[in-house]
Amino acid sequence: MAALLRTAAALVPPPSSPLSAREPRGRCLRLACSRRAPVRQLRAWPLPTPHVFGRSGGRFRRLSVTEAEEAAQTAAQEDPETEVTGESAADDSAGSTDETPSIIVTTLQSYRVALINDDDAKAAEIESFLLSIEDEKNSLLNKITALDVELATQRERILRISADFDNFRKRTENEKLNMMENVQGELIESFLPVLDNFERAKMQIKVETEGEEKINNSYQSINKQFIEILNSLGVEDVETVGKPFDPMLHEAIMREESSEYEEGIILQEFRKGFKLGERLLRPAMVKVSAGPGPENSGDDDPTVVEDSVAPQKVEDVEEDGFDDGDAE
Amino acid sequence: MAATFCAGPAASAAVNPSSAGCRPQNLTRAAVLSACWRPSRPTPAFVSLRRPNAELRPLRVAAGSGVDPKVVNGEDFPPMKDLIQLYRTAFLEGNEEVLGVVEKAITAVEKEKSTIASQFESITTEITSGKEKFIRLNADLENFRKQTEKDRAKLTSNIRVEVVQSLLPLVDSFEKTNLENTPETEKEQKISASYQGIYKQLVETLRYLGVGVVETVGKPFDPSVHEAISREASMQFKAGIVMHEVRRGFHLKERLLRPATVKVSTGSGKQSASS
Repeated sequence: MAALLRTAAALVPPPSSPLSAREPRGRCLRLACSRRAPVRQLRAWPLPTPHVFGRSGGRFRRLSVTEAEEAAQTAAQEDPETEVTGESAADDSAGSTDETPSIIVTTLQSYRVALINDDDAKAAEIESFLLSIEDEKNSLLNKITALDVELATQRERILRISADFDNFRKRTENEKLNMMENVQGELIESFLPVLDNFERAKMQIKVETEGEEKINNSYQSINKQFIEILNSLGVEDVETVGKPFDPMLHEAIMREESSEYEEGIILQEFRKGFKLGERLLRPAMVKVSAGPGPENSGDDDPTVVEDSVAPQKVEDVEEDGFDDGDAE
Repeated sequence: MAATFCAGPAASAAVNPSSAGCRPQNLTRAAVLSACWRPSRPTPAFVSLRRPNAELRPLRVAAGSGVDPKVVNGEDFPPMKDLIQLYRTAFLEGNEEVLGVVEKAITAVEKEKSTIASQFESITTEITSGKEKFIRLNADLENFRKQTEKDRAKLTSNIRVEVVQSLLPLVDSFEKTNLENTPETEKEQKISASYQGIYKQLVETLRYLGVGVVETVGKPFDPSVHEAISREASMQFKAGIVMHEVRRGFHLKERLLRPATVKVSTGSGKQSASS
């Protein structure tokens, strides 16, 4: 953490430099004013006479002031060197970094002058400024810690909502496909009873004269048109007679022994079933064989031939027979 | 004279606190006394300042203090208060080496503060942009939901239209067959009635789904729902009125499924002649 911060220090310019640069200059001006006071003090000292004991004490104070002046001169001689060093440092570092060393250097120089002049108020002011730099640094560190937590929370929220968005998109696409089949299926289911009645009419109506046959045929052609329309929409018949019973497609309402079909094979359809794609619109109502099935090997071949040649006719014959029974 | 009297008390006030609070000042006074005893030899006075044992201890303290900042500085920054105190002590002792080290340390603290301030601004900016991004994403998601609902409703409606339109020819076929067949015998009428029942069932199913019939005969011609195939004179209807429906039109709720094919009246013979 500290290493990263220091690395960043080398790269990022200090934005607070312009603000802090002004204060040291103001303090320099103040220090210049305070420098004049010692001169006046020196002029005041010659007035007392040197022969009195108390006056000899005054001489000691004069020497003390002289000592301070010598120290100040030494500092003054060092100042140019420090400034030169600062300038060379400025040449080496980035332009924005120039002000930083000078701010601290200027502040510390002001501090030295304050110490020389025994200006405790000024020294305390400068110390307070330096301490405020540290306080501000610590304050910012605490704020950054708090912001890091908030930043993590922020990123988590964005990640979550982005994930929600993606999931919603995918779910929407899937739902769209399913919905198309569902809506279509529901609509078509509404019309199946019409189809049932057409089938029922075909089976129940018995024509005797040409006139009757003509009328019946003209309406049955509408039934064929209806079936073609459903096929174009993707509707398919559920296969029944001759197929194994499948509870996913068929609804068994009767079981009957049969010498024609094996056990479990459908031997008669009572109501058509329909499916749309993978969706079952309506199961077919059927009668299932209870066996034993064909035993005569000779009969097998004719049965197969009959089924392959004209399965509908076979159904028609069976249905007609059934209806004839009802008629009688 | 007045200025002189004012400066006097200020000077004495300045001297008293420093002399009372700092031991180095006492050392300075000792040096001064020594100089006073031998005013003719100022150089020996400086030599005597360096030689006493009391001076050796401050040097050791300074050296020790000099090491601490270097060690601590490698890992973290020493407290500013300690740096200030160390600087003050080093300055009063004239220890330039330590002064330089402390000055660099204080400068480093200031640079560190600037760096942290930059990072603070950077994180603040990132959080602000993050919030804006979140708000934008949330708005996008909300808009997407609403658009999805609209699209879903529209898609549902489109599918219904598609299926129902496919079945409309059945109605046409029934109408046509009804016109063509004229049952004569009782049996024929019975057969026809059976199929009319089926037709009625078909119509009721369509109506249940929301399908309605376009009004035609007797209504003013409306190009949005009617399709005119001819204009003829009529004694019964005024000009612009639909006089005959050739093919039935349908609408599904608010949408037109198929326009009605109609013949439009041009008015009576007299009006036609005049026009």
